[in-house]
Amino acid sequence: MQAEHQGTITYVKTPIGNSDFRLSTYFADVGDVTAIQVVNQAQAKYVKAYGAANLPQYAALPVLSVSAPFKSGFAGGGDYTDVASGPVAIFNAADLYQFANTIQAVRVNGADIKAWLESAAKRFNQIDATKTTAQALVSTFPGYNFDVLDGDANVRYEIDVTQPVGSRIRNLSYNGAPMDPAAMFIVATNNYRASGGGSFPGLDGSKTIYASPDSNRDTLIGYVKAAQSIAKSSNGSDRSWHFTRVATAGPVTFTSAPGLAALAATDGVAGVTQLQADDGSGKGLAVYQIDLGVQ
Amino acid sequence: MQAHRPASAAKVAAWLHDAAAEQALAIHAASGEAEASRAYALLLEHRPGAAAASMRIDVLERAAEAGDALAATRLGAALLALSNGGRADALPALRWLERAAQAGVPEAMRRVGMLALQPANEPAEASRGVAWLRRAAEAGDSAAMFLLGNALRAGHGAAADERAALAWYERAADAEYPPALHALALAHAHGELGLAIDAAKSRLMDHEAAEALAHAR
Repeated sequence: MQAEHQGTITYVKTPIGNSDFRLSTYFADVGDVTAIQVVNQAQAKYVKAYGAANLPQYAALPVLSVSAPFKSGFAGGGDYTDVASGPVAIFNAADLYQFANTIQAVRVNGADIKAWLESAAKRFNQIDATKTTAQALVSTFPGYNFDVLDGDANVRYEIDVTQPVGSRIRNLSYNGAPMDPAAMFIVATNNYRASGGGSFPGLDGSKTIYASPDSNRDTLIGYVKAAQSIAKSSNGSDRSWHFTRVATAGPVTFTSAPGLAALAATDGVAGVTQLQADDGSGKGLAVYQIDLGVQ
Repeated sequence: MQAHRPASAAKVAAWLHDAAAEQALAIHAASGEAEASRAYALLLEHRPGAAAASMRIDVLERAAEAGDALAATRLGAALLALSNGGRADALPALRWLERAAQAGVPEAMRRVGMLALQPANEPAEASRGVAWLRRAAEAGDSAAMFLLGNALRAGHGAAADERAALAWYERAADAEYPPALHALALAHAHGELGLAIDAAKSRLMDHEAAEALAHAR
């Protein structure tokens, strides 16, 4: 028993590669992709490789990927993904990908993708730009359903939080041109989402073209191992989405672990300042403000 | 119906490398035997290329036309996989699936329900979709149980009812359906569906999902 326990500890500490940046979800709700981009890259690469070898009928379709920040502060300031720069071990992969899902690839059109992102954007409350009092940015819609779409640096979109649910995704583009609602794509995701988890429109298991036996987490481990080192420039700074720029009369607020405003700036999210070091919830969360006028 | 694919996977893998077996299967399929037709179609599904794909549709169509409801189900699913998501596109598939659903195939009931629940549809059609999901779920289709749970949770095609949603997730989880186990893992972690926040239960559900997924491999 002792030996087995020791073996497990040794296993989870096994190094899989190196990182030159901190991967975290403290500001994933406002656009930080440091802990999400590499997961999407790993998933897209895996599905692309499988498709090239086994699905010639879909060879012409672009492969995109979605992933969500599973740990986004629900349980408090300690409930975030946070992997320091330096050696990356197996247990860090579990921090980056919390659940034991398996990879699935779905075949969807551009309209489906837009509807998918509209659903994910329920993460936010509707903001009234004229209101002078503070407005909370993040709704009760769970972070694990806040899917972030990415691909091979070719996906871009905006989330306009001044608009109601269902009308928030703007300027969705692929390869520099507006995404054609009728064009077909392959999107790498997990078995939960592809099977209908979270009730994303049209996702019900019928669009799955590949149900892999491999877990999303193992795919991430494989990706980091193959790359040996991951770098912010190529794995943690491609912000596929940002908020639509809008000047608000009052502060727009959200919570995260305290004292990290500088990290938001380092990770490319502008206009984040800490308003209160303690939000009063007793969960180790601070109140931040984001200036939507500089996004 | 869920078990249909995994159970046959090993056999199909063997057939793929056995020209004589494949030939025999093709002959039986050509003579219209339902079971051979379905097996041959399954084999063709694993063959790359457009020719195999269209042969597969032909084989399933013959068996479906001869009245085999399981072949009609597979045919409906195959035609859907070829469509581009449009409503009109799905009509030929729907015709076969409805026939199979009326004949009592749970997977076909679920697929008819799924088509009726597509986002662009009218509310009346969505509630018809929930009724089909319910029939499939009651017939033991675990994916239908999960989708029914989703519909009841979201109030899509039925009045929102979290308790009923939870009950269907639990039934699907008892059948080791991984997405339902994950839905419960997330619900325990976040205190959803009337459950208390319980990290240990969440981990247990995630672990069971991992086991179920490994088992399906």
